[in-house]
Amino acid sequence: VKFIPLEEAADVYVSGSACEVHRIGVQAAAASTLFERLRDLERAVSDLRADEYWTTGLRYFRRRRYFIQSTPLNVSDPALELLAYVARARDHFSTCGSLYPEHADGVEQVCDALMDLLMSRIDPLSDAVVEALATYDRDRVGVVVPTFGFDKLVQRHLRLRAESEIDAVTPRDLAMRRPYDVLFVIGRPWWYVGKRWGWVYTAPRASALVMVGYEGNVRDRLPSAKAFGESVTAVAPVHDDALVEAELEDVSDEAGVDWSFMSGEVARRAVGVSTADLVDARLYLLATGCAAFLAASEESRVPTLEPDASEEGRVVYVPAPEIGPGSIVLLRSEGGGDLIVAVADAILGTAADPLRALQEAWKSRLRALVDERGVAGVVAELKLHGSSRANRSNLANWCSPRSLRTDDEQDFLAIMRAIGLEGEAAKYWTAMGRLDRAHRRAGREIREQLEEQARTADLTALEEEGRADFSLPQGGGALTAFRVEEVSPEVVAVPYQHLGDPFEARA
Amino acid sequence: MGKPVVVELWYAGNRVRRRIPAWAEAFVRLGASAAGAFQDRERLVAAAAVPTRAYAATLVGVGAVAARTPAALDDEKPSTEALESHFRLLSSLRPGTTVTVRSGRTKNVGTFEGVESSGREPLVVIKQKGFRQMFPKSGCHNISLRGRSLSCLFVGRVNIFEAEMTGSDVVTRDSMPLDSVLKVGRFAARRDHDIRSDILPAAGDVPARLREAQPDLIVFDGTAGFRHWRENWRNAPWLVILDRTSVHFDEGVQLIEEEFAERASEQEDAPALEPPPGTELTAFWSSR
Repeated sequence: VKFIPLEEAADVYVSGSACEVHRIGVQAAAASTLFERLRDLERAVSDLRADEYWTTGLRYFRRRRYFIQSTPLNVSDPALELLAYVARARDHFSTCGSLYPEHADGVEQVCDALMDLLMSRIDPLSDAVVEALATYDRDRVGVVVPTFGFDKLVQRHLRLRAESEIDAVTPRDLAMRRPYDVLFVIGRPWWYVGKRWGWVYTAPRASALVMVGYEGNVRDRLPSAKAFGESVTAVAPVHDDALVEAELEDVSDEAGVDWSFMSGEVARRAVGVSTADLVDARLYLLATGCAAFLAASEESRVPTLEPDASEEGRVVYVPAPEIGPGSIVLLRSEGGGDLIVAVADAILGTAADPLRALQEAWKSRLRALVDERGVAGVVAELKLHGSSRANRSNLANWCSPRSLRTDDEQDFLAIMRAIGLEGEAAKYWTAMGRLDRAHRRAGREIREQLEEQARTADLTALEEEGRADFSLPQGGGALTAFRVEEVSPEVVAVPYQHLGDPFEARA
Repeated sequence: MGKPVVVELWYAGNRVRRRIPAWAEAFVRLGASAAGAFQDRERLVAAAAVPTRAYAATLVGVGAVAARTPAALDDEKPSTEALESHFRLLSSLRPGTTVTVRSGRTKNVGTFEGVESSGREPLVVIKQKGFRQMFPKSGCHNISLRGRSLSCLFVGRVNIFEAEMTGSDVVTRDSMPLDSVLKVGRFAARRDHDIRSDILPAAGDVPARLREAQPDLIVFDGTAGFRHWRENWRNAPWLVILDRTSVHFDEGVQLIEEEFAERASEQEDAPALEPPPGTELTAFWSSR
């Protein structure tokens, strides 16, 4: 949300009151062959739709179909990853001949069609946009795509092809922009509605919406502008040039976020890591094509920015599970590691190193014990030594460097007994208490600095792009505020060192 | 509901000063109609689905404050229209509202009790220390509302409201910012006691100055504030602005539908409000 002058707001109302929808359906033989063969295969295995072998395998095809149909890029563009997915599908279905011989030919035909499409190097969606630009000779032209992380790529591609300053945006960005004269909307309305972007049609940001998609995708009915069950409406219906209801296909898992890249990201981070260092996490897709893992635990707290709050309370630490699309998370983008640790060490000065050495000593012994006996074995042993709170979740927390000591001294004593440091338990307890106090003070200082930044920073970039950079004085390094776009439904185990570390992602 | 009061507003459109467009004026009228909208033991709950949140809540608030601000009454010979307007304003007060009653050269504090309608004409009933006094329309100019509760409480993004209310983008006829009408407590100087509206951030706690507030209208600008504060001020009329482009739009609609399911009366009796062009409006009576 940002301040919008009345004149710009008036443009939105004008666009909405006189919006015309036009539809351009494209056809390409190589693409049609793929779509038909995939539909034939889907029908042939419809009785097996609950079988994980087929849901996984079909997903490889369906996701590529979705990207082909929703992204105006040349089908050979590496970003669409057609070659990689053909290989992945062939690998997955390598056992199809023995498991489902009656469907092996159908699978092979789809793989061949995907390869043929890749080799055809066609670009029909871009062709349609570029050709239509001549018809709509207007100043401000935009293209809206329903995919995540492709907008900049599409913009570069279309600007090169059209030799014009056409913009490519996601719906989130579109909402913050002044209405266009013409807006090309790629793909079927369902894809937008499913992601809470149905307003692209019901609160249009152009006086001419041109739906561009493969024939069949652009004939769907537009979403209703009626929001409430009982209401009076003064919303002008859009003028739709050709409403023909299309036969609905099974689009079950086509248009959601493709989380399949997550497993690769997890595997890359987990190489050679102790199981004691793994924590449950979810992947958060962030604005500007980034992603980050955040802890899934209710006990974890993530700094978030609440632009809605009063100036004194804009930085709020919330449990990660409460963070959803639209939330603004603050992640460390420079300086590496844990911000609180860095600031706490600065507070402790020369005392930091010996205290950290003690911390590392008991943590490494505990992690080694987990590696040796497993989580369940260590939990049982801690209980034998008198721990009342030992369980899988708490043990993971105690292994993590962010937990300096247990809440209850009896649990700490049980750990010391289990790792052979019982004689030095008091010394460790006191040392960890000192670290704990330094961490709390560091937390307060960071919060104050963040509050100051949030109070004085220009949040325009955050509002327009979903991302803003902050630098903290006093050695705090750099932080980036990201708008959260999506959250993975699946919980995965990643090394704690990688929590909150943003990286580039496309989904 | 009170007759809509239109405030003349201007904006800097295309480098030329212009009257605000029809949709914007309709939001002002909507606020004027919604403020103090009570019916027996019920209050108005309304929600507007808008294509952009820009200015919607602020303009609704301008209408609410303008409608609830006492017209300047000529103490000796008020016009019939002024008396009519003032009587309507008094009639819509919440019972228990503090008023000032002028009697000759003295002024006494009293509380508004209600409207007595059993006689030939309706009478405003004011309770004063030890007695009750009834005023016909012709004598209502002796009742003053100075120092009364807020006309409008905004809930939403303070910095956005600040830009809309104190900036020079939209101004009054005499080129004053909208705050000159709204008289927002948050932006007021310490010694400024003429406060007619205030702003509550969408998150956080209620500031001390607003704990006892009795707003004539609460304008929720977006789902976040509505979700956070909807259990507060269930005695006041609500108008919820829901931006269709917000990720929380569907949730906001759902919350309104929940309120609708608990409405006090059937829709044949629904409040008649005019939806601004480009918006969808739902309105119903809810118990208070």
